[in-house]
Parts: sequence; structure tokens; C-alpha cells
Amino acid sequence: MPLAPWPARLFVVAFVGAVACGAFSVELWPLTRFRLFSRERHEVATGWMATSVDAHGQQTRIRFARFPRPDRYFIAIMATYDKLSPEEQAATCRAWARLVRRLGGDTVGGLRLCATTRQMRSHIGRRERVGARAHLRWTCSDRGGARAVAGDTARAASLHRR
Amino acid sequence: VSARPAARELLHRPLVWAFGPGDPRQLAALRIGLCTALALRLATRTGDYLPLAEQERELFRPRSYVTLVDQMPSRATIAICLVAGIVAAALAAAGLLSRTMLAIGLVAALLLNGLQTSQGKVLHNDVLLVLCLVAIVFARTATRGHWTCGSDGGAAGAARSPRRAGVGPAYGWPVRTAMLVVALAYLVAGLHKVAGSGGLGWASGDNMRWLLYVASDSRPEHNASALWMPSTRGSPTSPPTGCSPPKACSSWCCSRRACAGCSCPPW
Repeated sequence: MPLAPWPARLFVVAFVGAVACGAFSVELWPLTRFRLFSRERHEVATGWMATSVDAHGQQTRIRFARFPRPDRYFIAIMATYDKLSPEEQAATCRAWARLVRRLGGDTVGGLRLCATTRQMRSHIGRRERVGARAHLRWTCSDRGGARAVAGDTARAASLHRR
Repeated sequence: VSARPAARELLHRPLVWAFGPGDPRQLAALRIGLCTALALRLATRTGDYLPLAEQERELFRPRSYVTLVDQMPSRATIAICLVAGIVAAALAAAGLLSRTMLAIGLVAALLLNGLQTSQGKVLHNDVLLVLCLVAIVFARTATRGHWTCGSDGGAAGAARSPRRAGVGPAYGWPVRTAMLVVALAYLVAGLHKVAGSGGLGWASGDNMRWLLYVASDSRPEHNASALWMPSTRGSPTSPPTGCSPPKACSSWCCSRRACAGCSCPPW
């Protein structure tokens, strides 16, 4: 039986091999790792939130869903935020602050980036949004750049919401 | 003694499957389907692509070949790419200069989707479509006389003269490569789920419950369907036996507490 010519065979082997290798190595889109909801979720949900601080020290949660569509991926960016250089961290923070101001927010006191944990078990039997415990991880401002913080904890539920 | 021929046969069979002859009409059908899908995807999602130009430069997170640029291209560039991609994909689907048009459409799709996945999150929406297009982009034009606009025969011609369909080894491998890539993608996605949960916990545990709770909380309004997940471990929200959730949850029934033999959500 006649088979495909060798250039075609070579291409198929290389292409399928690249797709297979890409699936278990670095992300080289479109040779992706196909990690779609692959991490098992537990009853303690972790995430990130950011607040802007006005001149009176009042914190307001930043609603990234109100940002233009390409600028909404806050949580995805925070996943690798600690791997950025200090300059990149500060620049990223400045961009968020600029977007907050564009929507009428006040960022005189800078931004606070917090890791959050939520006990999703408390959703059982009630539909209200589960309050998050926020652990301050970074503060940043237009002038001061971004600084890592350790230890401080605040109830996110107590934050002023717009 | 007979083991060697058997082993050779075992090795030969996948080779024959992957590189054996194929029907050009099958390849043409694949090309038409994929290019139509690409044209529709690009045409219906202009609202996703065009705003990319307005992204804040500092939030640009390029991946893969997009690292060659340091910010999103201008709106005009994206618009030109979109138009070129849509037109090329439509022409390739119609069979006009299909190889060239398919290549142009593929480049446009790679560029636009590469930019889209450079917003900070890896997006998989169009990965399989793009990979399947890569699988067929180097294939010989499937049917010069079949299933192409402007040909002398068209589909009717092919039907009249089956010999012209010309089953051959040049037409089989692109279709099977696309099949292999799709199967591989699903296999890998499944393997990551098993590995990510250390076994079958992804499917057998409360994973989906927590996932839907978080999804519901991330919306402005709660998602009632997501919040009413029966527990796999018999928590109080488990629906009674013999009562399917859609049947149980009519708002009329629940608001009047008139449910006989079925259950309402916990609020």
C-alpha cells in the first residue's frame, strides 16, 4: 500500500511530537499545556483582591470587571507578580492605579494587593457571597513603587464597597 | 518464529493508518469545515480583538512568538489582520486559491489569538482550531475538481465520476494528523486533571462544588444553579433520592412551599 511521502511523514511526526511535548513543558501557545481547570479545588478558595486607598486612608475594593476587557486579568497577573522585577511590579501597579482613576476612583494612598482565602463550605445552605479574609501582600503607589508586606491581615468584608 | 511478523504488523498498522491513502473529498470537507469555523470565529469576535489595542502597555504579558513585540499593535493593524483573516478563511472554505488563502487565514488566526492570550491568561478557546489548521495547511489542495467554487466539476462532478476523486496517500495524513492532535489534546487535558488532583479526586470529590461556588461568587448576581450542587459526601444540600434537581426547583413550587416529593434550594 502506498504511504505518504517522507516530507509529509517528517512533518506529522514533528508536529504531533511538538504538541505532545508542549503539553508537558512550557507554554508556547498554540502548543499549550492544556491545563483546563486541572487543579483540584478545595473548600478553602484562594485568590487575590486589590483595594485603592484614598487621601483619608479609606480603602475601596477595585472592581476589575469594570476595566476595559484586556485589562481585567488581575488574578492571572497576580499569579506571577512576585516573579516580576521591582520596576515591572511598580509599572503594573501604576497601570492599575491609572485605570482606577480613569473610572473616577482615588488612589492618593496607593493600592493594596491582598491574597484572599474564603471558606466555601459556608456557602452550603446560603446563597450570600462568602466573605474573604484578606492578607495584605503588596502595597504600591505611583511614587513609592511596589513593596512586599508580610503579616498584616484585614477582613475584606469590612471594606467599603462602591 | 511468528512473533517477528506479528510485531512488524503491529508497528506497521499505525503507520498505514497515519500515512495511508485517503479520500480527497474528506480532506476538502475538513478544509471547508475548519475554514468556515475560522471565518465565523473571527467575524463574530471582532469585539474581543479590536479592544486589545487599548490595553495598558504595562499589563501586556506576551507569550510564545508574541514576545517579539513589546506591546499590543494598533487598532488599525488588528483590524487589517481581522479583515485579511476573515476574507482568506472564507475564500479557502470556498476553494479559491485554497492553499494560499488557508496560510493567510492561519497566520491571521495565530497573530490575533496569540495577542489575545497575551493579556495575562492562557486562552484555549481557539487552540484546537488553529492546531488543526496547521495540520492541513501543507496538504495538497484536496480536490481541484471537487467541492471548490469555480471548478469545472464541483460536487456534482465528483459524484458523476468517482475515479476523479483520486484516493491517494497525499490526502490521508492531514485528516489523520488533525484527528491525532484533537485526541491528544483531550487526553492531555484529562491527564492533567488526574495528576492535578492526585487521582480521581477531580471527578469523585467535591471539586465541582467548590469550583461552582467560586464561579457564582465572582458574578454580580449569584448563580442559583451553581449554588445548588448535590454533595458527594451527603451534606445537607443533597437532594432527596429520586428527585432530579431541575424538576425540584421550580420557583412557583418553592415560593409556595408546595413541593411534594421534591426539594428546593436551601434558601
